[in-house]
Amino acid sequence: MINYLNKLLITRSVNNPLSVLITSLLFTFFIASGSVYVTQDDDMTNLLPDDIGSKQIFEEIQNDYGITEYMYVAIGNKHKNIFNIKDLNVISDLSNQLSELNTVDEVISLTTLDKISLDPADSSIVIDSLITSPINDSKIFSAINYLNENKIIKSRVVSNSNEFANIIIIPENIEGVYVDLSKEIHRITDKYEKNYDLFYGGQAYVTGAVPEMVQKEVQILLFFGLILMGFILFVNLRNIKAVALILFTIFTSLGAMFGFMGWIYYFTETKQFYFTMMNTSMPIVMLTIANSDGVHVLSRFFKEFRKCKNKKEAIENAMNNLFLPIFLTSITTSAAFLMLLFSPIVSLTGYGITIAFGIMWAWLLSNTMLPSLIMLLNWNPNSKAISKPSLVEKTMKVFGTLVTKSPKKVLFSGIFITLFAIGGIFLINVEVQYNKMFREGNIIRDSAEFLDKYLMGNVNVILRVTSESGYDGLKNPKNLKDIQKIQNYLDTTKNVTSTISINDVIKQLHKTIMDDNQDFYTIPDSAQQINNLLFLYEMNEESDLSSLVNYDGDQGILTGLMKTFSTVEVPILIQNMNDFIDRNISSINNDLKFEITGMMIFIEDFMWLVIKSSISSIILSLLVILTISSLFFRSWRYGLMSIIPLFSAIILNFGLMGWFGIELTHLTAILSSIILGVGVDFTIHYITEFKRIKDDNKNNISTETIDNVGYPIILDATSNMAFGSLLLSTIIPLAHVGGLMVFAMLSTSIGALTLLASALEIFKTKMK
Amino acid sequence: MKLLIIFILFKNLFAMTGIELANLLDERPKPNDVKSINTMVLINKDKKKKTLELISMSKDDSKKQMIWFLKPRKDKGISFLKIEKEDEDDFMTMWLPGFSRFRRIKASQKSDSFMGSDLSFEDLTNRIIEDYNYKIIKTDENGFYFLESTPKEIESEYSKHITKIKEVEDGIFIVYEEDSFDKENNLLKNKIFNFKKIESYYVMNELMVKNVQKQSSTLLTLNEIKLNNEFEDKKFIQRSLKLIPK
Repeated sequence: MINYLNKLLITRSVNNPLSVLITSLLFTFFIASGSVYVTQDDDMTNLLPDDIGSKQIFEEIQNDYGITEYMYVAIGNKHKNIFNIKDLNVISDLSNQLSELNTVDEVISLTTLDKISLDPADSSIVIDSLITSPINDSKIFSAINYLNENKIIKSRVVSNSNEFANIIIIPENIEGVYVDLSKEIHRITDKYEKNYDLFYGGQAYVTGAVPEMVQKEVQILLFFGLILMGFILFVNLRNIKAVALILFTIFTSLGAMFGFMGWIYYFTETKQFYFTMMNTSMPIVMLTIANSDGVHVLSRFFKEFRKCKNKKEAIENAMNNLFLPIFLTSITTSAAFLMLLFSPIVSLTGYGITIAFGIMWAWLLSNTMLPSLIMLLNWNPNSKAISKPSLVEKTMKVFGTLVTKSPKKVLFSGIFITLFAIGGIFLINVEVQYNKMFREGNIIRDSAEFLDKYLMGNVNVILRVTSESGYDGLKNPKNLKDIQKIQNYLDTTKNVTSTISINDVIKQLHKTIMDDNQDFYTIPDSAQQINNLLFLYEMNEESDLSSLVNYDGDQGILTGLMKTFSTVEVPILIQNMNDFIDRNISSINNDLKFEITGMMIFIEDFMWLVIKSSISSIILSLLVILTISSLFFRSWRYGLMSIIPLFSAIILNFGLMGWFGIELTHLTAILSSIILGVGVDFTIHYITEFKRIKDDNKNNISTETIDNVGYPIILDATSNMAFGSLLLSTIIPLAHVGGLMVFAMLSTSIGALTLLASALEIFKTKMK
Repeated sequence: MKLLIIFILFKNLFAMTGIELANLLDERPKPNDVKSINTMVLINKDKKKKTLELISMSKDDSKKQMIWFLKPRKDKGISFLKIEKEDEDDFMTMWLPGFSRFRRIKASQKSDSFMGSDLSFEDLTNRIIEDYNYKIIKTDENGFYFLESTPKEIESEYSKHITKIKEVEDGIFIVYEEDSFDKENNLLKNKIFNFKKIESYYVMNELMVKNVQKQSSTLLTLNEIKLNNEFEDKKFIQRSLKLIPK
């Protein structure tokens, strides 16, 4: 079957190159035309599976109480007090513009904040705006007095030096709100940037702004990567036509892959085929794999052409030698990516299917379009590029001799390095703390650091509290006082800057009704008093407790505003909170149930899911590669050999991350896919060539194998190292991807030419 | 044909003006005082219900009014006194039994919700005829007048009201429905009234208020209505709030 397919494609491509070229291009352009239907979805929360516990609670909270993740805009000038008519009018103007957005539920700022106070004229309770328009000096004076008496409230809307005002934006609970709102905020604030320093933050803002930022950086750096890749290929191949053909194969494969994604979305409209932040790595994966096919075909063609000087014969020889390994590498890599179908992350299933299709299309083009193009173009057999081997090719001969002469030394050196790397795996940190994701000077990092230092921080932890006794159960004094305990505890923890719950409203009302006596800033002792206060509060037109407690009064939320903190500390925070609740509340009050959530927490859960998913995908992929290789080579020994360098490259990659303190994120986790995708290519090309030479009963099998496939492997690896351009990214995990990419290319190519080569050399007599 | 033209001319010549209709509405015979046990059902946008029960005593067309809450139990004893004054701010106060304290409610807070319902204090206050401009914007074949009332220079949460009025007996006009618009001229509330004839008076026994912007509604039902109980003015004082009447 494979031989038939091989003959069919090669014969057609060589004998009817033009028709094969036109047909393959027509099909490719038709599929690529589906690219217009590729639908981008930047909402990171859509990536998460619905069965993450913290996400379920989080979503229930968003539905019941509105969005709890806020966006912050801090505005002001260093060394200038914000409490003046001009600046407050700007804050009022800005707050009003933000309030009018359809994507905004509420804006809390100095000019929209309500105060609960006692009117000295008639002792009536007034719930009114802190500062009303038109703003004048006496209103500012009175607002300053109120805020100075209510420091907690003040800390939420003004920096401790009174230089910056904090505008808290609560988004509407609608699909894709974070992305749209983060763009709209900048549209509104742009005109103020001339006269004011502006800082943006909050987990909601970051969630909205980061995906676009990542995609833009990837686009720019990929462009430079491609230029660099072309340059590396040119230096080695020394022929512009050859480089152009490889790049053309890459672009057409890439187009077909995106087109396929678009068509599938067009026909099925399933979320799996959204282009999300996770899919940002797709072009990198596809580029490396398509490059590999092209490099192998062109370099083999040159080698054969050098020998026989006949273009047609050279193509036939090259394709006859490469058909099986390219087919096998494509099948194994596609199958490995299809293992993502078992991933719990929605978009990764679409990712796997799309990449698998792209790889198979690249295989098809490498066996049809590419040979027919080679056939149609003129090649000079006397040119330096074809007639003389390059420096790398010459080096391969020396390398082949070394492996043949000292296979054990080479093997044990490789094993030693791999064992050393294992230690690093235990040092890997998982980190999603976004301060650490960006370099200094990046708007997100600078803003986050400012908000952490001078305002309420950037992230939230949310505690959902439910009373088992039902209607209005939460509002009894005992329960409220127990909620106050955990609130007080949170207030003393390192990163919490402020806490918000229904208790704040009750305490403020209590103090106010008791003639503004600070001694009564407490939870009243009787249920009747609490109910009286809430009755009084709910009479106010602006009163709204729905963001703090549900309609039935048996459930509420406590929000802890926090400075950005490391993901490593999240489990510790949760553990400490649970321990406190167990010791101080649950032991004496079994009516209250506490559940901890927040975007920070479920993103951390998501991270672990990505990592677990990557690990299971690695294991499944290795098994699939082992099975397919064993079947095609009709030997389990060859199957086992095919995964040895991959296994060690993955260990080396993660070990290096540990040793060098590179954090594991959802971006760096994708490296395993690239390692497998490209690594399997190298090993299968090597094994196929080794087996072919061995079956021909030739001597110096390893030397000849390395001589034949070493060069394309090294060329493929070095050209892929062009994506080291990602090292320039301001997004640190993306820069890490760039660095690790270079290392992955080195480890997989050298792994194939050392570990695999020496192992095969040692066990060549046992290989059947 | 001539007769018809004369009839139309005559009718237009002597057509009622807005202010006349407002006066007629105001002059409807009313009892001296009313006592009732009311239920108020509050329905939020998620269709969740909360039922309140209260005793209301009013005098002089509700210019003096006291309300005591009976249910839900947690709010029992909270009470409210309102005395409308012509030349000065209305006097409004609440009794909070949990704190044994009275708390004044400022007249400027008239847009505030009445006991968490869709009715504001302004909705409960009688409109002073002179404070509004009136215009009959249309009449229909069923005898309904549509009266537009626009506040002159008074503080109000509304920009205008359009009230559907009908003459139910000779010279007696009652309100059937009213749409109230916010300051941006968007519909804010729709109120549907139901009147019951008791003795010789038309007394409102049901009011449905829908806040179309908040998507919530309130149904106020007056039960056990007793008229002309001879309540004295001196009964309408703060101290009376402390004791729930029988």
